[in-house]
Amino acid sequence: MMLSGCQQIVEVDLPPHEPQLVVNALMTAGKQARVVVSKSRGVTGRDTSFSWISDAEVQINVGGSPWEALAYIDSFETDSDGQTLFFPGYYSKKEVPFGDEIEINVTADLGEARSRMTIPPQLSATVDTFQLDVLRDASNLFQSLIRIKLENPPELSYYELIATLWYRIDGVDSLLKESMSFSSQLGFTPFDGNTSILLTNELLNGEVASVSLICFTPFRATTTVIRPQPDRLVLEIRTCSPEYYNYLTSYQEHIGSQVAGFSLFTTEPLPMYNNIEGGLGILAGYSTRFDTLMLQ
Amino acid sequence: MRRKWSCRQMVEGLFVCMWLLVGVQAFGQDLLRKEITLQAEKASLGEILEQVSQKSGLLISYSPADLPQESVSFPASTASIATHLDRILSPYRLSYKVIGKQVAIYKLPRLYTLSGYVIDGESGERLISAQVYDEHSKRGVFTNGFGFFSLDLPGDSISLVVAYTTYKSKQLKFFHKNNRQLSVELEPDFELDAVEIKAIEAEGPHKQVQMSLVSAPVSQLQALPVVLGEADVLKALGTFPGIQSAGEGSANLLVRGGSPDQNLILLDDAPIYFVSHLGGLFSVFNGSAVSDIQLVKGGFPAKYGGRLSSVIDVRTREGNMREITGEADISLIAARASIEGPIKKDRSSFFLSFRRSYFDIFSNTLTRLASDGNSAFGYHFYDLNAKVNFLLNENNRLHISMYLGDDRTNIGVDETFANQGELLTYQLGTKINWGNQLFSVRWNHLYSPKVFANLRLTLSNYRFEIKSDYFSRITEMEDTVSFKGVESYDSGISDLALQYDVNWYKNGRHTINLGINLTVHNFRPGLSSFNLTFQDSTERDTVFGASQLPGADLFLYYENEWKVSDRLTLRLGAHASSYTVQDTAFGSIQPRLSARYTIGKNWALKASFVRMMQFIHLLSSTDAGLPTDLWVPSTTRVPPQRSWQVAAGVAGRIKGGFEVSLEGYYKRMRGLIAYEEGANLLGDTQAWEDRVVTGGEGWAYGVEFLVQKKSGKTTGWLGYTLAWNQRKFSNLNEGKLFPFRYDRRHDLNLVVSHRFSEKIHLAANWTYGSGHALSLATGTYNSAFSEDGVVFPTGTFIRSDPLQNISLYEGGRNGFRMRAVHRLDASLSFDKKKKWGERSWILQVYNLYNRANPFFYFFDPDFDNPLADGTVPLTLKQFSLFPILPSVSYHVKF
Repeated sequence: MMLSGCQQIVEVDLPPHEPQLVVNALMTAGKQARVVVSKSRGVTGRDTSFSWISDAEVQINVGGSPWEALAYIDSFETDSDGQTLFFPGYYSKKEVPFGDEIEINVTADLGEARSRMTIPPQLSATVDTFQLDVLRDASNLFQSLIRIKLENPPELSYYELIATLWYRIDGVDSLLKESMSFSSQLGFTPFDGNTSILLTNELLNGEVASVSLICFTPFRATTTVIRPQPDRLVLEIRTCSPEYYNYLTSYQEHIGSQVAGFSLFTTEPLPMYNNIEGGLGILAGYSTRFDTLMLQ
Repeated sequence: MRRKWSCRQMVEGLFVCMWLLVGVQAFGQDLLRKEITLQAEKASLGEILEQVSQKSGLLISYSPADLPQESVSFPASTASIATHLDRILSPYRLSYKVIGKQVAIYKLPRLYTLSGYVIDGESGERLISAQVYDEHSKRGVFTNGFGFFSLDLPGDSISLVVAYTTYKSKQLKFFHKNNRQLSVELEPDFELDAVEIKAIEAEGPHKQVQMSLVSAPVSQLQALPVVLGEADVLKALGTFPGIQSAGEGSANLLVRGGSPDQNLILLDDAPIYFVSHLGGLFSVFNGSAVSDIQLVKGGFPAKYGGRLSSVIDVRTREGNMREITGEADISLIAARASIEGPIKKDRSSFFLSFRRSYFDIFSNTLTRLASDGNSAFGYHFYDLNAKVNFLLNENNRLHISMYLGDDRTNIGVDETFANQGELLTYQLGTKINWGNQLFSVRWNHLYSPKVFANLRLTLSNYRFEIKSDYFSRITEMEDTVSFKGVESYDSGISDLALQYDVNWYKNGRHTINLGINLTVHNFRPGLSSFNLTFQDSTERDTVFGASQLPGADLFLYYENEWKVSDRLTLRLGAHASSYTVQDTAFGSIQPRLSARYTIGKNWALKASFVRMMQFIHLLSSTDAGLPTDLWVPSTTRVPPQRSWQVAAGVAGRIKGGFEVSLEGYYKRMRGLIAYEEGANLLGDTQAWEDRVVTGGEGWAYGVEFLVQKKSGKTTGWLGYTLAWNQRKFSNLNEGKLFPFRYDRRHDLNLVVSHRFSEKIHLAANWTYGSGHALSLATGTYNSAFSEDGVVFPTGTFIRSDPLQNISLYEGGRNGFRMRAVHRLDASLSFDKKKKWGERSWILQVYNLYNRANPFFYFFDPDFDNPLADGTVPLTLKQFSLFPILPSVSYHVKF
C-alpha cells in the first residue's frame, strides 16, 4: 500500500519513426502461398493510418524462374461463433513446392524488398513416431509422454512439434480438440505458451528423445463433474527451413521480453531474426506430416 | 586554432603530468646510476669513499668522525654508484644525499620502535586509520584494521601527534630512547572549532599512499537523511564521487563503471553476498553496529582480490571496555536496540545489536481484516550483530563476531466457498526467505613491536528459498477431487575461509604486508522441486537444477610500502590467486602498484595501476539487488572477469580543514557477462551457462572531484563525477559499442551537516545525476503471427494480439537517456540530555521539493481506445518511486 501510494507517472516523448517496408511470409509446402505486406510505425501516438499495404507488387520465383505474381485478397472466414476471421494478404494460386529455392520480390511505395529460402522435404518415414506411455484421467488433466526417433536424419534439420488431444464427452456427438502443452525440458525451445516446441536433429540424432505433454481441458463443468474420454492424440511434425526455426526462436525471446517490458522495466532489445533485404520481416516455410495415435 | 580537449585526453594528460613530476625526483639519482668497479683490501671507509670519488668524478663530503675505524675488504664488483654507497654505508647507519653534483655522507640517528594502539578514551575501542605522526622527523603511520601502529623514530626528542576525525587530537612530547609500546587514548569531540582543527593538520588524504579511498565518520554517514528515516551507512557511500546507486530504492552500488557484483563487501573480514532489505530500500548494515566503513575504488592493496571494482570494508563495534552503555531507536520502518559493555573491565567486551522491521504486524492484521480472515500477508526483516573481544595478554587479542539477517515473507490463503452445488476448498501457504549468516573469528598476535599478525576464520552463507504448499478440494455430492502440491526453490552460496595476514613494519622505509588465504566455496545455483499429489496418489515428484557446486580459491599476496625519499613513497605488490571449480582451474598474478609524491606540506600527487580478476559471477536480470540473483562460479564456458585500472590525481588539504582530491581513472574490463533479458530465473530448466552472454568488454573512465570537511560544527562534502561507461559484446547490439545501463555523465552530490547548538542539528543532501541509459523501442511492426484479426458481429475489428508485434530499437541498446535525477533531502534532529542519558527526535523529509525522478519507463497501452485497425495505442510513461516523504524517528542513548 505504501509503495503503490508512491507512484507518480509522467508522460515522456519519443523521437518520430520513419516507416519501413515489412514482408511476412510463412509458407507450408503443398499449400497456397500467402504474403503479407505492411509497414512499420511509431510505437507511440495515435497514428490511425492503416499499416497493411494492398497495392504492392509481389513476385515469387522458384528455382530461379518466375513462378507467380501474387494478387491481393481481403480474405474472410467465419468461425463457429459467427465471428469473422480476417486474413488479408497476397495469395498464390499454385501450391508451394519444397526442395527448390523460393525467391520473393516485393515492390511498394516505400521501396523494394527481397528474400529467398528453401523448404525442406517432409520428415522421412523412418521416424518411430511416438508412443503413449502415460495417459491418466485426472479430473481435467491429461498427461502423456511421447518418444521420437530419427534414424537417418539430414545434416542439420529443424523441427516443430504440435500435439492435439481429441476427446469425446458423453452426450456430445462430435470430437472436441484441445492443444496440448509441452512441459519444459532441456534441449527444447518452447513456443507460443508451450503449445509447440522447436528442436534440431542434434537432440534426436540416432537417439530416442522423450517429451512430456500435458493438457488441461477447458471443460470443467460448473454443474457436474464431466469426465472427458480421450479418443486420439494427433502429433504434427513440421520440418522447417532454418529461417523458420530462427524466426520462431528469436520471436519467442523477443515477445517474452516485451511482456516483461510492459509489466515491469523496459527491456533490453533482443535480436529479432530478419531475412528481408531492404525491409523487415520473414520468408520461411515448412513441410508437415501428421501422426495419429488412437487411444482406448 | 583552439583545440578542444576530450575528457579522455584530459585524463591521459593527468597521468603524463603525474609521471613527469615523479621523474623530477628521480633526476638527482641519475648522477649515481653510473656503473663503476670497486674493490677493497683492508681499506678504511674513508679510503673507499675516495676511490668512489675518483672513479665517479663526484665530490664526496663527510665528517671523518662519523666514519668507523675498522677496515673493510670486498672483492671487485661492478655496480651503480648508488648500489655501492648503499652497500658500504648502511651497516654503519650512514646515509647520503645528492646536493647539486656533490654527495654528502651523514650519520643517521639510531631508530627505536614506537608501537601500540590508538583507542577511544571513553569506550576503550580501538580506532582504525587513526594517524600517528612525529612532527620532528616527519615520520607517520596510520593504524591498521585493528587500531595497531608501529613506527621507527630516531632516538631524539619527538613531538607525536595522534589524530582521528571527530576526536580531539593529542600531542605527546617526550624523548625517545628505547623501543616502547604506547596506547594513546583519544576523546570523542563533536564540537571542534577552527583552533582545534589547526592542531590536527597531520590528517588528510595527502598523507596516505592509498588513493581512491572513500571514508567518512560513521556518525556523519548515519546523519544523512534517508527514506523513511532508517539510517543507512552503505547507501550513504553513494553520495561520494565515482559511486552511484543502482537506482532509487536500491542498496546496490556501482563503482567506477562496474556492476554491483564487482564489489567485494566485507563485514568483519567475512564476505557478504546480499546486502539489501525490503527490495533494496535498506542495506543490511545496522548503523548502530558499524564502527568504521571504507570503500576503495582503485589502487587496491594487494590483500584484496576477487572483485573488479571496489572493496567495501565494514567493521563492527567492539563493545565498550569500560562501562555498560546502550541505545535504541524507532523509525517508521524498524526498531533497534544495542547494548555493549565490559565482560571484564579493559580486558574483554561484548556488543549486541538487534534491528527488526514491524511492517508485518500491520500487514498481517490488515489483510486478515480485508479478507474476513481468509488470507494474510506479512513481511519483516531483522539483523542481529553480536561480538565479543578478549585481550588475552599484551600480545594476543581475540575477536569473535556474528551477523544473522533475514528477510521473511509469508502469504497465506484458506478459503472455502460453494458454487452451484460444488464446495471448493483452497489453501495456500507460501514462505519466501532470504538472508545472510556470517561468523568470524580473528586472532591478533604481536610477534614483536614490528610484526603484527592476524589469523582469521570466516564463514559466510547466503540463501534464498521459496516454499509453497497448496491444496484444493472440490466436492460435489459424494464425488470429491483433491489436489495437493509442494513446490520449493533453494539457491545460495557459502564460503569458508582461512586467512593469515602479517604486517611487518620493517623500518622507517619499508612496511611489508603479506598473507595467504584459502576459501572453499559452495555454490547452490538453484534447486527446484515439485511434488504433486492427486487423490492421494503422487503424480509427479521432480527435482531439477544444480544442487551443489563446490569451488576453492587460494591466494597469496605480498606488498612493500617503500618510502623512497621524504617525498616519494611507493607501494609495490602482487596478488597471486588460483581458483578451482569442478575440473577447471584458473590462475592469475595481479600487480598492484601505487605511488605518492608529496608537494609542500599539504599536497600530494598520487598514481596507481592495478590488475584484478573475478572468479565468480552474479546472474542478475535487473542489477537492482533482488534476492533471486544467483552467484555462480567461472567455468570453461564462462571464464573469469578481469580488469586493469590506472588512476592518477592530486590530494591535499586547504585552509579551514577541507580535504580536497581530484582523480582521473581509466578502467578496462574483459570477460564480462550479461544475462539474457526476459529469462525466468526461478524454475528455469535451461542451464545457466546457456542463458548468459559471455566475452563482454567494458571501458570506464572519468574524473572525480571531492572536497570534504570531516570536523567542526559544519561538516559534509561536495562530490562531482564526470564519467563514461561503455560495453561491447560480440552478440549483443550487433557487436557494436553501447553505453552501459548505468552510464551517467554527470553526478553531483552536496552533503551539509551543521550543528547549531548542542540541541539542534541539521543535515541536508542535494543530489543530481544525468539520466541513465535505456533501450527504448521507437517503432513497431507486424510479426508473422500478428497479421490476422477478428471482426466481431458488432463490426469492431480486433487484431489477434497487439502484444505480438515486434519492437524496433532504432537507437540500439541503451540508445536513449532517462530524465535527470535530482532531489533534496533534509533532516533536523533535536537532542536533549537527560539524567539517564540522551534522547533525540529526528524529523526527516525525503525529496523535499517533490521531484518526480524516473525509476523506470514503460509503455502504457490504452485498451479502451484502440486505433481504427484494432491496434492498441501506447504512451511512454515514467514511473517514479518516491514523492515527498516526511518521517520521524526517536532515538535514546544511555
